[in-house]
Amino acid sequence: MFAVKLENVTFKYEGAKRVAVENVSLTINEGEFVAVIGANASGKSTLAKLINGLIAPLSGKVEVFGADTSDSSKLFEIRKSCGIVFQNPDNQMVASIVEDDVAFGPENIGVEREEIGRRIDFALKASGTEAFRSQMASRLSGGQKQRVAIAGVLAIKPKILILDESTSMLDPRGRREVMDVVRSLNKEKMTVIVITHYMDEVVDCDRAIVLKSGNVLFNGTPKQLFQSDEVIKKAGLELPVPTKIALKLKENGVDVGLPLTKEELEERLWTLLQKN
Amino acid sequence: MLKDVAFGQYYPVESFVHKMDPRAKILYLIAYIVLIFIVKNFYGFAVCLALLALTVVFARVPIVKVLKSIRAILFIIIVTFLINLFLHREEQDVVYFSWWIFTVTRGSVTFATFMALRLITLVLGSSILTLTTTPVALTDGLESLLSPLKLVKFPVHELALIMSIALRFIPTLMEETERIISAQKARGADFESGNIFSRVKALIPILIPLIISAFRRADELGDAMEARCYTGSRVRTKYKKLKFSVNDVIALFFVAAAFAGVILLNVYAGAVI
Amino acid sequence: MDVIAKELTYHYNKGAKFAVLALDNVSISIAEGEFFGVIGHTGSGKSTFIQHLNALIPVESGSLVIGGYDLSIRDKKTKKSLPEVRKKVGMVFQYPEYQLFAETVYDDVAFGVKNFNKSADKSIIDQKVRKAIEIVGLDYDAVKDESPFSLSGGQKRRVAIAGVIAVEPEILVLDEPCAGLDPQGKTALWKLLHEIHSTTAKTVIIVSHDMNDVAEQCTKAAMFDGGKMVAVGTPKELFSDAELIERAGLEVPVTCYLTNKLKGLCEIDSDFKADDFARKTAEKIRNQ
Repeated sequence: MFAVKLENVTFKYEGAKRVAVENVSLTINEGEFVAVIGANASGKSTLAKLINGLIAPLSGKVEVFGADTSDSSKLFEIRKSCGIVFQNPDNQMVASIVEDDVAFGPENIGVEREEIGRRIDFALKASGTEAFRSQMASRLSGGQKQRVAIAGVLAIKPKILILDESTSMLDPRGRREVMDVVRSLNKEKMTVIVITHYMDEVVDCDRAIVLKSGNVLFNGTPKQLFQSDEVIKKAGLELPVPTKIALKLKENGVDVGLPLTKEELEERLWTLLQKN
Repeated sequence: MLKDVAFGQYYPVESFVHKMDPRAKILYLIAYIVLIFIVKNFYGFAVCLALLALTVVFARVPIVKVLKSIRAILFIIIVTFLINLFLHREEQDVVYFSWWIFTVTRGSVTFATFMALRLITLVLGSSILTLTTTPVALTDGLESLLSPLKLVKFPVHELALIMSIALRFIPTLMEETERIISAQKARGADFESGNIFSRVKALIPILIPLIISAFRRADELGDAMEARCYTGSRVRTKYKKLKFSVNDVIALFFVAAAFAGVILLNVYAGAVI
Repeated sequence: MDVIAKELTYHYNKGAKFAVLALDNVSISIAEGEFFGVIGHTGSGKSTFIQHLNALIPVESGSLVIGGYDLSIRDKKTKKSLPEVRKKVGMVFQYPEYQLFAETVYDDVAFGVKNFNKSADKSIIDQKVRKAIEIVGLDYDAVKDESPFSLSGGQKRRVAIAGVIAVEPEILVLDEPCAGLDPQGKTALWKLLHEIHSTTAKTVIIVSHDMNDVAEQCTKAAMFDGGKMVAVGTPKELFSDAELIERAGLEVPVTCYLTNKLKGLCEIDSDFKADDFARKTAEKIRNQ
């Protein structure tokens, strides 16, 4: 069974001139780490809301572990199995104190009191935020707030974690903190969907899905994506910085292939230099 | 920064008062308010102030923090004091000063002072509650105290949630206001000169972005809450269960003692108002 | 107009229990004509510093002189000159589109112009507004009567920037202007900022989190950490001490990372811009 399955999904916001997502079909496997990228207004965030059942498709079908998001009786289960962390850390916290906020999800699904305590322990630990347990959320940094937001989702024990541009308002340190947490969760078999503008967050994903004006323009590995000039140009993306440098080296007559990370590029330069 | 001067923000330390049940604190505050309204003489006020001082000591909150709360209503205190001072009349009074419709008498001095003291002690008492109780505990306490109203289909839970979200967003919106003010100042906005009309008009560039942002935040928060399985209708559990403790009983003793003291003083020490 | 700060120090909530030392003895000078980067992680003091430049934060101790204006003197004359300082130092805050308020794009862009030129003719204001809207790459006649809220995110940001450059500041300060933009929007905005630098504003001061961008775009940069200014210089000078950069919680540009890793095998003496780095590295490889 797929973790997420979209079949010819089309969605249009009320009053909008054009559709946000058009005839999209894709599947995401359990345990996969998928990046969804594309320019602003390409339909990325709409996709996240469709998967979580915050919005229902106009036509087509969205299934989360086989449950149809258009079936309102299944919605509660779908939201339990699929959590979203949103962009603005300030706009997703309900309570002033960290542990009260993390408790909000489990309270909503009717978890027993003692079990909520255990879940808070687990969620804070998994997101590295134990130290902030009884602190005011408003005093935390952006990266810390986003990790608390992740904890708030983890406490519901979802199987899928969606990050909807969750790092876009953070500084490099905050971004690193959040992505480290997400990667370690993925290692523990969590299915992760990262919606992002940062190419370096795409690089180590299992798969990249590129959207343009609501359509799937590309669906494959990051390696394949960054090899395709056409897709990059068409979707308004850019290459990761190491890849850009590699291309510039090529212009200068040195072929180092297409490295995606600085470590990869370093290794290739090493081999080239040592050979000589 | 603006967010730190907000009225009566929670002061995070561990203390006797912090550990008390929010319901007890709310009830005792109500009792205390009743107390400062039945006080009839300055001796009684001394008892109230003693209770207040004791609470501050046991709350381990710096006195400055508590006193700061007065600043928010200083204007109101001064205005009511002056109105009472100049316009309050009593029969058979010693007149100190008189001009046009303004008279200051022995009675008006006493009355104005008494009223000002009432306002001040009222605000001080309430600020101790908010300084020692987290917004969440406060709303939990209110929700619990109001829960009998559920029987008449009053939306107690929703009301409590609205309150706690409002409290949660105070620092965020304060910060945002500060940022917008700075941004518009940088664009040459002038909030300090001109007549009332132009000053009010000068607020538009602050209010519009603030309102728009509040709506945007509300929208996003709604999505985030829904995504975290909030439905409103389902039976929710509660992580924090309120429990009365020995602290509440000890505090009850002091509140009762103050009550007895004030009533006795009202009877035996005579009334000044 | 040069910016010269000497031993600038500032506390938030001075005197209170939660007083925070936000700027600690910062001495820096930014010469006219620079495209100056300000880097550091959140809470490093960089935002506090740039807000001083616009007199939004008063000088607590130390001195700050911008052009002919000494902002550290606190008398009536300085207070009177504040509007002039703010006119000459334009400030674009983070997510500036959230400060839009007027009914039309024209009104919003004209807000600053009118505030700073109280007695100016409508024709002059019109002209300035048109020019600013055109510089940021929008079609004046098409957008001037539109509501700013009906535009796309990237367009809103452009309108907000137009509102500041319409005042024609000599120094333009921007706090993370690229935050939240998609790659295309980012590239276009950098291009726009260089255009502004070469046409209207003499000096551009920019807060950025992306060290690759700073290496690529800025003529000089200063790094803040814990309220102190810990380094300043050209990108080449600044990033040569990688340890210092990492201690401040930042990552060095990729070119700088590679230069350091390849040391011993080959010395690459580039200015850390990708073009220069690639050319020199390729040369070394071919020569070896």
